[in-house]
Amino acid sequence: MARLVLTDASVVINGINLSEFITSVTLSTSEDVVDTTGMSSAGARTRVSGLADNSLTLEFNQDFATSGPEITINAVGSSLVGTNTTVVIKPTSAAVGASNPSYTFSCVVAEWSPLSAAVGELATVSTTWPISGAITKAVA
Amino acid sequence: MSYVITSDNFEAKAKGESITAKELLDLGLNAEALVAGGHLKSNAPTKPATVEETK
Repeated sequence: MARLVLTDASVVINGINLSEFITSVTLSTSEDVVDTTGMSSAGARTRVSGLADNSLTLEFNQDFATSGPEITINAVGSSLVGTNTTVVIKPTSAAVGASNPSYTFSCVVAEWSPLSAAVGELATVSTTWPISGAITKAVA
Repeated sequence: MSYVITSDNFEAKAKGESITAKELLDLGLNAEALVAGGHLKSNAPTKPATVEETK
């Protein structure tokens, strides 16, 4: 099994491929742990998995030009900020397959920082969006 | 209602092709944001210009 160095991850937000602006992508899943310990648990806690909590963390190089992150996510007149939007990510831009699965989900675009940089630095956007519902993984 | 794709970065179809509102809905995409962002252009018929009468 080949290891993978990410150089070509695909990130599509509301149908627009913003991969060229993305410098980091992290898709996280955690499960609530629900304690089920009873009196007959032999002195050790017992637990079961509860609700899943998923999120997407992205870092962008900001660009205010046509087809860039700002106009795609925070356009004047109809911003995605404050809405649910469909996101699809893949390890590479190649076709979906067993070694290149796609992950599709609905993100709540809960935050957006159009400008973030100190003097002399590259303007970037760092954002974490909670995911609403399940993540659908496809391999074909 | 349909739209013309005006963006090179639209994944579902190529620039210059058309996509219907139902297709966008089925894909879970926000048409208003795509139009506002310049990725789609509405194909809705425009009201014909009226000719002003001059005296």
